[in-house]
Amino acid sequence: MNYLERKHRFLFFLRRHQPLKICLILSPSVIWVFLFSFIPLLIMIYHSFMTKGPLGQVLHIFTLANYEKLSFLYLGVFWRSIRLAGMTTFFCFIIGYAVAYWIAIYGGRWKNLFIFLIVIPSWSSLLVRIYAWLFLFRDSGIINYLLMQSSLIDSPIPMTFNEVGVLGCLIYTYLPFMILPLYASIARLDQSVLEAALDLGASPFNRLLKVTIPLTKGGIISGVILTFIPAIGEYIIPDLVGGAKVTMMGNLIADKFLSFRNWPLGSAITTALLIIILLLIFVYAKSEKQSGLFEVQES
Amino acid sequence: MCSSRKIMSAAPLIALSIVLILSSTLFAAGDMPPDLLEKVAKEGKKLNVYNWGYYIAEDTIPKFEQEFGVKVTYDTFESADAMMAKVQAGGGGYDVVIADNEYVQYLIRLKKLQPLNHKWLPNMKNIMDKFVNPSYDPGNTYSIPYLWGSAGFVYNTKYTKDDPNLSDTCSWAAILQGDKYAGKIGMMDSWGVSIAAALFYSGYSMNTHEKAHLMKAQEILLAQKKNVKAYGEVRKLLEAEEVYLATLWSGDSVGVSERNPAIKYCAPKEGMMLYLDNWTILKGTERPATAHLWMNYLLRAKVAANNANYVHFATTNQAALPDIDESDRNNPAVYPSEAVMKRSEFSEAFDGEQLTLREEIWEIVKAR
Amino acid sequence: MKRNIFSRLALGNKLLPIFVILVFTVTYAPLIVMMIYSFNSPGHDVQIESGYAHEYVRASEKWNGFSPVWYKRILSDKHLLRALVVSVIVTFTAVPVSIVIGTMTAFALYRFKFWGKWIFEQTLLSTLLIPEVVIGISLLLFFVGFLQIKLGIRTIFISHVAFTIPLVTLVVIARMQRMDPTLEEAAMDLGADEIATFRKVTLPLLMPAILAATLLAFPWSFNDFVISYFVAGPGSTTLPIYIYSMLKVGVSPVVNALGTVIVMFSIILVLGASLMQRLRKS
Repeated sequence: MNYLERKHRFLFFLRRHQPLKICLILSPSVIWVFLFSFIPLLIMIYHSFMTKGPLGQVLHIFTLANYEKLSFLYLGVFWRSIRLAGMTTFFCFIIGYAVAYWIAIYGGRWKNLFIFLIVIPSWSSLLVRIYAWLFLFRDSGIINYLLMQSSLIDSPIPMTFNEVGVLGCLIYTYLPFMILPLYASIARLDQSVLEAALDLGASPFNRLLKVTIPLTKGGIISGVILTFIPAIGEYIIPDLVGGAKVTMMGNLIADKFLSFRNWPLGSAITTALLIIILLLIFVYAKSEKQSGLFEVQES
Repeated sequence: MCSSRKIMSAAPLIALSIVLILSSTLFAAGDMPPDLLEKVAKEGKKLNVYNWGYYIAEDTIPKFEQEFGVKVTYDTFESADAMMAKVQAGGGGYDVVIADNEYVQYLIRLKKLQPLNHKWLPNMKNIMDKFVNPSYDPGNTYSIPYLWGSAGFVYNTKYTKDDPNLSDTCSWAAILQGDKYAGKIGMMDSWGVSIAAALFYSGYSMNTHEKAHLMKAQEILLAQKKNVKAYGEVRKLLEAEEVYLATLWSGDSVGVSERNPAIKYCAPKEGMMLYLDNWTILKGTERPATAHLWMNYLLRAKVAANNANYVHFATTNQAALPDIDESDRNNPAVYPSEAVMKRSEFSEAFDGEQLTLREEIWEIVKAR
Repeated sequence: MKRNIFSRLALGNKLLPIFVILVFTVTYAPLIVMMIYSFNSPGHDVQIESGYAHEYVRASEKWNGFSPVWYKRILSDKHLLRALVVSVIVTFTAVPVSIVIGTMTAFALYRFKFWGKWIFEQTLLSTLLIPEVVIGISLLLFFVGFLQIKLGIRTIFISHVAFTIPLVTLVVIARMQRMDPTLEEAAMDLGADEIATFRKVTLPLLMPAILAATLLAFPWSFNDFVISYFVAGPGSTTLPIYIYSMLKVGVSPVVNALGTVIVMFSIILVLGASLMQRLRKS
């Protein structure tokens, strides 16, 4: 049989066996994702039930002690994470909606350019951006320097190494992730509907509340999810900008692994975080199911 | 007749000079046992080293690589705990790792270290007597001392005038007590140093096992927290003068003082934590001979002196003493006074409940 | 009506644009300031041929004049260059692999219906949302606690592919949904088999999406810090990991220069690729 015939035989065979075709195409992905994303999470959950040895090793003895330890100390950190992530999402939403709205409605020919400009920085290194932020806002940074030089203030305003600084940097980092889905949603709005609302006597503010926002619900939810969920587990920003004083879940977890060698406890905290996040994703997924993120084309 | 006599008496001289010439060419590797060098060649001439950042002279590695033709992969860590995490997690592929007195004990107990072959370390004779056969590693079975230092704190004299706690004899009170420097204090992100400081200040031993003592330390650290600008990154903050006081390793303080002479190191009168860093070989290494080669090289007087001078920490090498910089030798930061040394202590290797207690204290301090 | 149009204009033309400009300014200010200061001359002589590019130098807020000395310092730092090489190796191997696998996944998810599809989709999506700390740590436990293999470039490679595949899949699928399915059908009607259809029709149509995915995946992998930090081993320090340790020690001027290089590199990459896309279209 020559190559052509063999190929046809093979394709014929595949055509009959749809499942096999699917398997073949999907297998690398499934293997990789399953092996290196899914299984590690299981391993981590396993470790959360293990005991920490006296010298920081892992003893394979089942225990629930780690979960008992998720006591009021960690609840404080947990609450802080939710609070900061929530505030970040809120401010990103307010700012993001305004910007996305303006670009979508008034951007004109340069719409794409504007969105591009907003998003580009988020493609460069996060560490560098955080560093640049610190450089600007530190006590010895440019802003404080200029303010002091012009005698507006006597001593530097501490905008770093505290919660305010961390919040500011979080907003700065996550804004593009909020703007993008919002913009996508607003840009698809039917302009005539907006005009009609005005013609019917609504004030711009009312229109915003009662028409624009409800119509862009999908984008809002996407933006919120894309901001809130990763923000809860943010590690670098509270570490570098918070000076290890503002402890969020991410830092707590990393500490357990890198500082204290208490892997079982660290795993327990991570598992708890994971469960919360999975719940949130689940809620989002259910609501997305109607609009179908992954549509199926009948072939 | 005369000539033959001359030749006769010249012969031993010639022989001697030949021997001298030959041995001088071998001198460079003369302190390395030949069987060690053989084994090194068989091991592939590579070495993975794991050390503190900025803890070796810049030319040490290139010179080592040049002399022995060994390719060194040199990685650094910024915290002992991070090192322990990597090593405990399965070695991380390193052959030689540096660990201080405390962590050497952990590693020995965890059976992560390989016993040393002293026959391959003839330069061990250079080690100072007081560091030979230490209590944390009897007989130097697993470790070779490298440098030692202390963990006190530095203060910027430009901003700390008239502080009674920073007069001729300084005290931990300056950095731990009171609101004088609110928002201008930096603490290293190390529970060992911080808890030790609080314990010394309260008059207790840093190695105490008493829960009551530790609770007092926790109180002090918690009360101090609102005045602390940041935990970690202290060098940066000191240089930028965003903090006026900060806990710091002794050697690092010399570098900081060099760049800003207003900053001085305090070896507190209550005592401070001391640490002695050692080179160790991880068990299961594929290159034990090369690892020994590295250690023996670092024990050479000149090499040890060079390293000590570059990083400004105190040497453990007797033969290196003559080559130590005058400025370091006279610097109380590097070589503290007898009085302070008496009060200072090396850290014990905490485990089990003691370790958990201390970890919890640090967590509480940082998380609140 | 007049009142309405007027108030609409007022909102649209006064407050909002100013606000938007403000946001753009805040977005770019830190980066621009950093770039400017990367050329700030130090107040004193600085050693260039130092093995370590970052001895402690005071960050100067004052402008001392133009000087490229910090850039020269970058080039003389052996450790930095080595980290750069590691990053390049990891990214240039991991991204192509994940593009291939990701596109295949997108194709399968788009075309076929099968058991467990929804679960698979959600797993894929979750991987993008789960905090990197969680992913990094679970991978650390997996490699070290479970498989007990040595950490190194290989583990970083595996991890990068694993978390880039979902990204690629998402981008490609989004594009596929806007693709005209009839084109494929037409090709098949005209006698082409699946493989030829895929090669000659589907793939070219997907090229923009694949390109976009590559554009997103490269910076993501190159600049990744958290995950790489947990799974790196000896000799496999990537550039972001190196930058992090530099930041912890804290020397401003060299980091300014390095940061500028990285940002410019990312921007040029993205601009260049999208320009290519524009040209192709026309």
